[in-house]
Amino acid sequence: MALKPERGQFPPVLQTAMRFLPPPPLGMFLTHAVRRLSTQRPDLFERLGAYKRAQFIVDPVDLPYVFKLVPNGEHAFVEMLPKAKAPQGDAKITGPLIVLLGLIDGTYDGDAMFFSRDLVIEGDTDAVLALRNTMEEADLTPAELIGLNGQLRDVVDRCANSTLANLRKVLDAPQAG
Amino acid sequence: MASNLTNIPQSMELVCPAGTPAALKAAVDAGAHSVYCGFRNETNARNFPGLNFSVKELRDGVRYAHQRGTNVLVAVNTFARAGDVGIWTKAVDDIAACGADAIIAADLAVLDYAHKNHPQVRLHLSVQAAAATPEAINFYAQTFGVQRVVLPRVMSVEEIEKLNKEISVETEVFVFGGLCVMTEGRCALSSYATGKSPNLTGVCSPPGDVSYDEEGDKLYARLGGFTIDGFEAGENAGYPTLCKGRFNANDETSYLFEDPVSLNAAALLPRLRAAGVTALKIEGRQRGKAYISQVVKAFRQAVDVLDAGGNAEAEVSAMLNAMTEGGRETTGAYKKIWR
Amino acid sequence: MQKIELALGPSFFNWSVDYLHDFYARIADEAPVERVYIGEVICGKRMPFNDKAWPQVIERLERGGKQVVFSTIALPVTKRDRVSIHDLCELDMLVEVNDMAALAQRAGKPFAVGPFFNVYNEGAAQALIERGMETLCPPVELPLASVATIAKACPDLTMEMFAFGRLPLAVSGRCYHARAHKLHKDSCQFVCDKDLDGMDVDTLDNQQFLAANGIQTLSHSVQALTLSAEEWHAQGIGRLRLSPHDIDMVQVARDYRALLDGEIDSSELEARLKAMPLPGALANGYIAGKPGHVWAAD
Repeated sequence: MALKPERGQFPPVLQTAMRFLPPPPLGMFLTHAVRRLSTQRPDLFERLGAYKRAQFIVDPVDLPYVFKLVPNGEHAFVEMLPKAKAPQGDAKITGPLIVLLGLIDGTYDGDAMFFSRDLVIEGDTDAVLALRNTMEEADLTPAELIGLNGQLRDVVDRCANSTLANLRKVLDAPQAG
Repeated sequence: MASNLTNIPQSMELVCPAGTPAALKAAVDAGAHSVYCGFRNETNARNFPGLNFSVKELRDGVRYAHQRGTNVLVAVNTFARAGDVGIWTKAVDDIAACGADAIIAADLAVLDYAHKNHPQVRLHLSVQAAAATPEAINFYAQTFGVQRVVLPRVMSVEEIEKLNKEISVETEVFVFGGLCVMTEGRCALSSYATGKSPNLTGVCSPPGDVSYDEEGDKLYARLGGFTIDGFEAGENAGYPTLCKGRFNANDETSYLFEDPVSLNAAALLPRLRAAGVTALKIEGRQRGKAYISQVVKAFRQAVDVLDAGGNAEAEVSAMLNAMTEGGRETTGAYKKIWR
Repeated sequence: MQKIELALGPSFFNWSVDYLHDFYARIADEAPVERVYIGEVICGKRMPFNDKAWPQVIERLERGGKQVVFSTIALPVTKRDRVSIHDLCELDMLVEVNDMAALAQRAGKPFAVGPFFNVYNEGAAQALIERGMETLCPPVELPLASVATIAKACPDLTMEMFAFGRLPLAVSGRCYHARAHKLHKDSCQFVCDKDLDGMDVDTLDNQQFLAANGIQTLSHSVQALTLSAEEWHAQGIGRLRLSPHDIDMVQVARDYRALLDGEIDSSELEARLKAMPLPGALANGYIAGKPGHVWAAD
């Protein structure tokens, strides 16, 4: 299923610029974040069931990279790969970065984004559904994802939420559901 | 005889879905009188990946709900697989052990087991049993001690009113969300196309059997290889639920069974109350907590306004409009013209 | 080894009284079936018409040596539906129960249970046997392995398999024949009498898919279970049900009898069936736990 064109994507100039920048070491950082989550919220990984061993490819269309995620508890890993080297994986989720981020913190409803074609799902839809329902239960905030707590967490969340909200407006992303 | 629900209001009881513990909390906080949920296995009719409760999550959920005066009803409403009935009876035991307020069941084997082994727990007859006549309902009441029946979504308000005069048990009706066109528990369309069905595996039109195929400038939504609907470029795609598809029959293309609409009987609440309905059920255990929270708030307000002697129609439709986002609605079989 | 019997199921379709008389007269005289289920199981609105046929049909079938079983309606809704069930359950003859309302009124006297009634396991079967069930024709989607499990747990019960005909997949409060003809159920003009085997329902790309028959949805394909007598026996099956269609049902019964008697093999039966003007392609996926529309050997 083809994406609805242009909605919510970074401007082409920025997309081109990013291709020439060195990739930030996000993979290792996210791997740690997911592994940390597995000790804090083991129920989430139990909820994923057999799908925690599935290979999810998350493809932000406006970035030159894809993320490969295997959410296997303490053995979880996240890898950031150049698009050309993206493996097929068990399931692939494609969309503008701002929409993908909105799915993690619950700004967007996965179903709604799918039916409005702001999001494309390929491969094992059961795996994606398991991931979606688990995210729904997880209720992650941006700060939680990077392992903050206490007062700092609230500050970061508020800051991240307003930044994302502004970004959604600037990029003409779909309205939050 | 099992106890009564502790928190039944004088008026109508709002029974709300919870696919996850987060959704349970959302429904309780939004004012649900009762929440219904199921275990994360084939014993319940919303057996989707990543959904539902472990035994521990149910125990915690019951505690959370009870602290806030909300009942928890647990569905064990699929039909037990021959040779594996133990999975279903264990679910019944677990519900009783968790201190939940009622078991929702359809299978004779499950009803029989719950009645004989846990007579102190209320037994509700699931919509999957499709009991619509006084003879059937009274039989379930007398044989298994069923205290409430969830009515199939094929009855008109007039029929519900007549029925309530001939039965001694409470009735619960669906008022919002997905709409089964076929009589629940009597439909094998999904297994015909995919091998999986509500009665066999607790799923209908399962996502794993869905494909979206682009052909020319059209997008086709298929289930088990059968084309269920087609969409023009730019048109919002729909989910290929089998009975909501477009088909060719009698030389015409149409949504033969049902248009892709969802049920909204908010406008009928006063009539449903007058018809003697005890509880109002909201469909949607697969929906997210934000959705649950909004719908439950809207219906709770409607029920409260109704209690205060007002007519809640305007308020509710205003609140629910945001939920359907241009999607179409129907009052379904409650109005006889639907047939 | 006990003989595997044959039964003719109740007709799902809106056939005229004349058609019913002719159809059952031939069955009575020529079809090698031990049992015949009759009665209106789909729509109570048809009853005032076909009710007139049944007394003579019963008499004729009994004269032909058939055991006649009266089937109750699958989805009783109206007062008329409920009265029909009440009256049937009072009868001295064997009754097939297709809904809990009928069970409630028949319990204590012997009855058969039809494929519209949800029996998926031995526990449910046992609860019905306690109340008088003598035959069970389980829901069509139930795999043979599950049927065999029930049969094993209930040795005195006769298990009957839905062996031939379009599969009864669903019933509804809504009439699809009326809807397709832009009518309402209450003023349907009985348009379902136009389609003697149901109205074909195809996909947007014209793939044959389903068939509508009033409030009922059937498969487009025709189920054909073609195991041998030995194989059926090993699974605990005692009878095969052939569901009536507007084809030569006497010939269908003869061909099945020939298979069960070992005169022909499965592939010969399948070839003979395919040579008939069937309303759809052959299918048998359900017994293997596969989608119902597939041919399991594919």
